[in-house]
Amino acid sequence: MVARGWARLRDRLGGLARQALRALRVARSERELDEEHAFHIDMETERLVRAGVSPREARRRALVAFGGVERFQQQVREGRWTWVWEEGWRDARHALRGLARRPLLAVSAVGTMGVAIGAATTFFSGVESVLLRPLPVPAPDRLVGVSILTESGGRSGVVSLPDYLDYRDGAAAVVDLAAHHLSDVTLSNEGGALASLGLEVSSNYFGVLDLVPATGRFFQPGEAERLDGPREVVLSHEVWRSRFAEDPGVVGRPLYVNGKELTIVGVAPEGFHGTMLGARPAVFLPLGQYGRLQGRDIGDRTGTSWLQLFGRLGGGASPEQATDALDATARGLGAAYAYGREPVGARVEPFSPLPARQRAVAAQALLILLSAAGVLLLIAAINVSGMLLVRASQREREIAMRRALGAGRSRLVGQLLVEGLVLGILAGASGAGVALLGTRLLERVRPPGLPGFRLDLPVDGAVLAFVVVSAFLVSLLFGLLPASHALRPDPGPVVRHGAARRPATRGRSVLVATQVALTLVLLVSTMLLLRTLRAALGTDHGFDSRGLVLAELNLRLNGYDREGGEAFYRALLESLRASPEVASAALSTSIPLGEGWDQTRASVPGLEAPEASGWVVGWSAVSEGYFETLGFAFRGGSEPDPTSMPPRIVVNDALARLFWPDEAPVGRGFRFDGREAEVSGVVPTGKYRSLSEEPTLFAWVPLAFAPSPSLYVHVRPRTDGPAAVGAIRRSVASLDPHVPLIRVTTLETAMGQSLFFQRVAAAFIGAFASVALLLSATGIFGLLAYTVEQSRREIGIRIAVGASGSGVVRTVVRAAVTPVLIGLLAGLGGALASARVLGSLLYGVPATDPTSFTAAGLLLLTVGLVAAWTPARRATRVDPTLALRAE
Amino acid sequence: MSSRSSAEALRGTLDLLILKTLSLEPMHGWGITQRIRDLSEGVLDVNQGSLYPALQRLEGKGLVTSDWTTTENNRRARYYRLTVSGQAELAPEEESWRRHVEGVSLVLKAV
Repeated sequence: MVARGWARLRDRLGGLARQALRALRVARSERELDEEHAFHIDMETERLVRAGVSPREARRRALVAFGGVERFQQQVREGRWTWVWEEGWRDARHALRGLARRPLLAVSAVGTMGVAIGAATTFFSGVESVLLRPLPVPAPDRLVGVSILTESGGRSGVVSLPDYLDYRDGAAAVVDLAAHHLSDVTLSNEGGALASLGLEVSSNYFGVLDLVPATGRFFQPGEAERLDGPREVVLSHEVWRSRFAEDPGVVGRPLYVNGKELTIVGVAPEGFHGTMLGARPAVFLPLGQYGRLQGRDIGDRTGTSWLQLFGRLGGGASPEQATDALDATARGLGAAYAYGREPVGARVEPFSPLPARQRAVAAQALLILLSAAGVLLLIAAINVSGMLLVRASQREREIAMRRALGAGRSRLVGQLLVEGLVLGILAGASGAGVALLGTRLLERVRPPGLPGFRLDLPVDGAVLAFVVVSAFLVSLLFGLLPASHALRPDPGPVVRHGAARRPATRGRSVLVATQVALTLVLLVSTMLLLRTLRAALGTDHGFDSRGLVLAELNLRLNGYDREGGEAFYRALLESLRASPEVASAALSTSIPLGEGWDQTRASVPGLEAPEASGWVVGWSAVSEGYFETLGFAFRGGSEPDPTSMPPRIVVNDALARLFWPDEAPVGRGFRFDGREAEVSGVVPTGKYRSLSEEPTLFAWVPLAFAPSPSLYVHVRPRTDGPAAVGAIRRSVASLDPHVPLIRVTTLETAMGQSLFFQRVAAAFIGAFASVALLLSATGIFGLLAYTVEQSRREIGIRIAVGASGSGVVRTVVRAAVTPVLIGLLAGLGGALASARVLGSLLYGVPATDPTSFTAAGLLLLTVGLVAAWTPARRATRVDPTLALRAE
Repeated sequence: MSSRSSAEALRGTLDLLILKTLSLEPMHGWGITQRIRDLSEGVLDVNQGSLYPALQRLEGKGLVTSDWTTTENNRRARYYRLTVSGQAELAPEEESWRRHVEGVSLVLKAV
């Protein structure tokens, strides 16, 4: 039945298209019509004159016989193109009047489609901004991103400054290689201080991007990489406008970055926001100044890897040539220096303003959400189709009457299409409105670990095109469904008997089943994500994270040197421990599941490691009191004395079992990061980098082993968290009022950041699933209400011959349960497939989690039964005498 | 027979008359009306108002084509002529018309 309907529809559409083409081909201009008409009248007049009629009378008779030029034009105009517009406008007004008469249908159809189009548009906009939009520079397709492959099969996005220079020079023949790095900075001049972002760049950075300064100049060739190079700064256009009112005289003036004086030499062009997605650096700084401004040693080749590489392919050079050149350099460097993770090659890819790893994560999350929005769009379209089918069957009589009165089929189809177009335009417009709100909402989603991230999601050409295409498809749906329904071959019976006897419910049952199937996909996805979040809360990290307060400090931004920093932190711990609100306090360089974790190599005599340099071990440097404050449960040994030599290290269970499977590990010696160390204690294995990781080797070293100006402060409150936060603020301010607390939160919240994408996905997909559930419920309700309405007579007879009320309810409910069950079965396959797509976001829950599937199925079934209840009750109240008489 | 079908039959008749006339020679609109009147010895007087829509419909179907030329009296007129598919259409149309007429007259002959 559906197939035949489609075939009929296709024929109709083909007919319409042919008619439109023909109309174009035989279109006549007004002037041509006049000329043909005049010729005909003249000839007829001449004939009559030849027959003896007076010229005046002959002309009159000729005109009468022809029937007047107006009528002639009217009749011929049907073949003309403008006719389409005139009729179309009339149909549009007619459609608007019709919609105004049924405001509920119009509002729910337009509203449903508007929300769905808006949701899909929002995520399309996200995909476009994050994954598709090229940098606003000339020939962005010639830009490539470079990452370095390491011997263990890993991949590193960053290199040290000396390495960058070698890579640049080694590949100079085929690719012009630039480097950049994003950091937090404090800007100050006469106008006051401003916390902001700075992008450290190589001297060829702007040249590689092929940009021209808005004023002044960029860095001189070879100068920016020198540690003792000129102390210069290039302003972003935004800062030039907001802080300097676009004064061209800023060139040559001083600007203080992290308290150090630099000279402004130029301004970047308007609309250029750097080369890191979502970050809008206020200033561009020479690479070589990074050490001085941030208090870091950047001359060390194998120590600090911080620069990301990208470049522009030379004329005619291929990415493969660039890869070959960089491979050679990488192998040379790997052979010459001891990195720990030796570089063995390079990977050259099209440049993306997102680093490869984040890009992959963002792409997956965005595409999952876009697909979910697409499923919602499909559900909405199906829901609205159901509404329109009801309306079409209500209008059967009207349409049949008009056809009997001589309205042509194409005329009717045209009218229904115009009605669809009106609905589609309204739906598109409301969808654009929803998308405007949705993109604002999506812009506020800030991924963790990207400081100062701000992504604009403008509703631009591509996004508008998406709305227009959606609206057009919706228009076709709105128009063609009723059209295919209205154009049944013979209008006769409908005119005589009213609506068709055979209730057109089978098509709608299919729609309801499809809707249920798609809703199940969204519900199961939501359940899986929610259960992932729940499972994550129950993860055993080997310590007690409840109630712990966390603050983040970075003294680098205040110009502290190493000794000053160590003194500051020592004093801070003393001050905190003296506070009555604090039970215990400690420091660490990283937090579990946070950013900034580090790894190095460790080995033990007699155990062969996969690589000569040893096993990869994650580590964190911690102050004394760390294990007590966090409440680690020691499996053996104890917290080390931080000053003992060789350094005493706490290791996790995974490392202890690997290195000393048969012996007690405490007191054993091993090589850690190139030195001799001794095990002080063993703690249970937790999760360090991500919840889904395999058991990972981990070690905690005393802070003196790797002092850092950027530390986390952990406080276990004596009474409540807010009081402890107050104590931290007071202690920091009493030591140095200019040191800001970058972040104050709880350890649990900070660790929860690793579930960022799961949270975002659960929130959005959950919202979609709720809307889908509501739409399914209205779909089922609508189907049943319609079925009951159509079979009043049948129900009346059943009641008249003695059917019980419960029997009637059973019949009606069965009509609802059947499509729901079919839909659930069909949706199972889709849900399994979507669970596999979600796979890498899931943790602690299998993709085939029976609980999620059962719960989603039961929820849908319950909603279906509730939606069926009212129509079923109504059926039992059918008065048999009235129902029979009504026919 | 419903009213729509009879309207279609009438329209079909006019189309057949036009096709037949144009199969003799290309002609302008007025010439077609005259030719039909002459050939039917004055019985068939084509409604001039419905002639042009019919011509345009036939042109749309691709059975007839038209272009502006000069008459023997040196006036510009739109001349219609049969296309190849128009010629192909004519024979079966004539045949089906003939059978239609025979059928009708057989019925009328019945007592």
